[in-house]
Amino acid sequence: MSVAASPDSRNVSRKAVRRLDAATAAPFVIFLIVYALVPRFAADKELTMLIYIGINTMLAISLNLLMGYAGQVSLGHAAFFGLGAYTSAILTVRPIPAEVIPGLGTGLGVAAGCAVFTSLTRASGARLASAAAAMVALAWGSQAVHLHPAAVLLISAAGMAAFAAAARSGALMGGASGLTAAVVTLLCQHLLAGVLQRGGASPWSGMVAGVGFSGLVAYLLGGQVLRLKGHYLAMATLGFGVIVEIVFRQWTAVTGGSSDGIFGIPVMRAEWLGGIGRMTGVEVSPRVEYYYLVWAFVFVCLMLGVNIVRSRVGRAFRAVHGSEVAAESLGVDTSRYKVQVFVLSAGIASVAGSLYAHQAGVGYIHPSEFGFGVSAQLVVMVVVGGMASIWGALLGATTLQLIKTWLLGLEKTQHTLFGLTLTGLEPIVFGAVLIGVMIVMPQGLVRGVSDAAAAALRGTRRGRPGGSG
Amino acid sequence: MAALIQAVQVTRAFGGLVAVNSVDFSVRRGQMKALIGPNGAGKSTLLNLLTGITPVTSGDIIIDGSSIRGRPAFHAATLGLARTFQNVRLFENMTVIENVMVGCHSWTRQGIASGALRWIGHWREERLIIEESHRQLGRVGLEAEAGADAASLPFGKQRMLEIARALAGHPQVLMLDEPASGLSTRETAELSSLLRQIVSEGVTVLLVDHDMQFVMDISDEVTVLDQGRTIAEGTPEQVQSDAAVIAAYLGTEPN
Amino acid sequence: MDQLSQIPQLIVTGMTAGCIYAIVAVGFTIIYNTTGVINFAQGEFVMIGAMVAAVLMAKFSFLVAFPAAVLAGCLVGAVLAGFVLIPLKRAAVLTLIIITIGASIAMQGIAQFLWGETAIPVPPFTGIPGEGFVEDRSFHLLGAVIRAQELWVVAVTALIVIGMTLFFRYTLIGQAMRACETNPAGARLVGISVRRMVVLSFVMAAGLGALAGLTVSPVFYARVNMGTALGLKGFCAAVLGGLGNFSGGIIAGIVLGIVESLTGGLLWSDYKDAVAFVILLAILLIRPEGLLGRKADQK
Repeated sequence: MSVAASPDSRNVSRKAVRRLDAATAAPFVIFLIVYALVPRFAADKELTMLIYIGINTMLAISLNLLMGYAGQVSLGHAAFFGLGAYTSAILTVRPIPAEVIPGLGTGLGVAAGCAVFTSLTRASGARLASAAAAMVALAWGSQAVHLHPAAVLLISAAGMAAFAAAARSGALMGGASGLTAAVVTLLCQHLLAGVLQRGGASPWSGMVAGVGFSGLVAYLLGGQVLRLKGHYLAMATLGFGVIVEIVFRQWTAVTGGSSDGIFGIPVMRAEWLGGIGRMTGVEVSPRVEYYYLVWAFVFVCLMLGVNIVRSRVGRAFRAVHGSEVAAESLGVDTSRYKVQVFVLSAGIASVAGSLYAHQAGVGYIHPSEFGFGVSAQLVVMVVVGGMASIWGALLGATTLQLIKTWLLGLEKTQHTLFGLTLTGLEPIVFGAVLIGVMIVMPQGLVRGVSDAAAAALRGTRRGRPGGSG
Repeated sequence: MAALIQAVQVTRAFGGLVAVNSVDFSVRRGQMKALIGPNGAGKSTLLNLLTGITPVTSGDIIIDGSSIRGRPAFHAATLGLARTFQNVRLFENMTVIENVMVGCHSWTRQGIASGALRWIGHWREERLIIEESHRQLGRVGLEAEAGADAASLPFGKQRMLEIARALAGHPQVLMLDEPASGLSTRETAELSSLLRQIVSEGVTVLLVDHDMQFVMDISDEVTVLDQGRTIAEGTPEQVQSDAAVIAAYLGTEPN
Repeated sequence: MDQLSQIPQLIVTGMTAGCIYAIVAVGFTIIYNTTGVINFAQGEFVMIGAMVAAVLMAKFSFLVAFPAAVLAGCLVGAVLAGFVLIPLKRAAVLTLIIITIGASIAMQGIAQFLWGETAIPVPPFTGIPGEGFVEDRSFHLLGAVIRAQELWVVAVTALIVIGMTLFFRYTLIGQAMRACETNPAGARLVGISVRRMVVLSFVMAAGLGALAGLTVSPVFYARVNMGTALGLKGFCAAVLGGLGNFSGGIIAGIVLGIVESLTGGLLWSDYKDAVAFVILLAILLIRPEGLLGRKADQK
């Protein structure tokens, strides 16, 4: 047994790292070449499909980071997708009625205040709820008597400091959260009120706002919900997803509700990306440009994903999946990393949502596009592509889109089976795929097929070498 | 000599069952200490209390001068505590070397942005982590299996991997929960020599076991626990001849 | 004042829905107690019962339709048990969750394929035959209109509750089923076939679900997508009452139905469907292991 690493073993490890990085980089190079050239060979119809695949790939990557790597089930992931899409769409095209703004501002302010409060004091459950109630009371109280903004700030900070001192969570931390709550509230009610009421923000700022909002929601929700495990976490996230969808459907004043949805959403432009198309000699239509935009995001997500899972934090995520107790014993702050991966995942989903809302040639969103069915489909994509596989997300999203298109074509042919027209094929096939993949190859298609092939080639089954990602 | 780990009047109750009952217990720096006792004596519970996995019902635990009471479980690791588990808890979704790399978590700092964007700090730290992990794997003789899935290792090697993973955190104290159970005679001998070597490097070791033989050979000091209470403490010789200890062990034998 | 006068009616409506939540919760509990699995497809059993009954009632007497509906439910339950059983031993919670979700999606698809998406009205059990449709008898009580079918729903629920209690307390099979989850190895040692018990639990839960479905279909109509919401709310009830606890789930189901109906009717009619989930989230956050339940499974 050698005590110190010999120079030899050091060289070996460096070489191994370099080889691994070459192997990691290769698919990205291929990806970029294909990315640039596709519009030369694809018609509008295929491009539309590719745009959907791209958005779904981002969603699958985000869910895979959470579920495949960190092992935290989410059956409500479409909610963050929807929050991104709706935030972006509302800010760009749908003026928020003036009477909603005070309440909206207070809500956002209290949410931000709560986020600061939990991050400073690690408060959760009933304590956090009472802090939130205190902030709401202070906000309503000071708004009811029409105080000067400076007085509102002072009262909110002082009031929360007193509350926190009484609840023994530190007056300073309470004061900071009270101040945050008041600042955000006032910002929304006064400085930003004009923008919110006019509703003409650019799609890019809509996307940024969406990420901020989804991240805030994910941070607050994750801090609470991720203490749950297994079935309970699954149901809590599912419940959250259902609630968000109901809000999209029912809060007609802001979201347009389920009869109208939101339409007339402007396209997100990125002319400089269209330049890639011109270099390859294609005529750059809005759709071509949008294809380049979406897949640029996909590229970034793939790269971030691959990098993260093979970094210190990514290993911590995976350790949480492997055994929380063991991870804690090694100094991994599991609750912090769970929240971190949840926020990251929600952020990516939110970006995907904005891209979905601002698509070229669509300009319309509806609550049904962000319901439980979509969350379930995301799970199918992750499972088909393979849990804990970033590139698998691309495969999963593509496979599902191809199946969908094929089934849609089949339903259009008006064929009949047993005298019945072909409808409802998609859920039947997706359900069957889920069950089949989980039973036959729970590692997903990529690993399942490559394992089977390797086993067949070698004739024996041995452990797989090398990392993952 | 100041104690590195000190448990003061520690009690833990599960519902009505008091698993550990006002125990005073300490581990001195540089010691190879053993905690033994018949099955169900409360050894594993005490270990879980010392590492902060289970919160104490009353009493206090002080590690290197600071209390871990009311702190999250990972906090003990940042104070230099590392441990293994009775029924090995590896990260089965990771490779052998990745398991050890997680062990380096407590002395590394790079955050998510650095990892995602591969900043310079990431590279520098990653190289340190890989070198340290190879060093630890070499020490327990698992260098050849570095790339294999952790779950694919045979049981004896899984135990060794768990020790390597714990050592990668550069702990002040290594706590081992029944490290010899399920090992062959040869593997047990290897484990003994590894533990001696670890102590000689200045790491304090706390062994928990119910097997007297293995423990007596290598420890400096032994504490015996029975039914949640300390019944004896001293050198292996003193403990072995202690009447209360003999009674406790014989008393557990069925007639 | 006008709103207050609605309260009796809202309670009656809520009670009817609550009974169905309670039966779905019982289904969850039966499967959970025997296998440790949460069956996300539980609501679809209700849908199958309702749809099969609705379709057959159009052509045959209820003497054919009702047994057929329950049988269809049991059959589907047995098939699902088969899918769950294959990986049960080595599977992580996530795998089993996904399998039952897959089953739920597929069942809805198949139902849609067979019967289409439109809601089918179902005649009440004890109605007055009118022209083209059957009108239900109704009673007035304290300002509320109670339909005969609603009494049927309550009666069937009561019957199920009594039956289940007797079954699990006094029959050998009932006790054997409980033993399987507590200690599968021990159960095997004393000669209980865990596989058979798993299948039995799914068949029972499915049969009960189908029975609930056919009973409630005259009130709410039969639709292929009725299962999802019922399943989720039944789960809320199961968690509120403490997962694994029969009487808790039943009480929680009925209470949930009434609370939902009252809040929906009096406060926020737009957000009626969200009430159950807000309660669920609140309970999960304040008491992560449920109100009366045991600790969440630890890995």
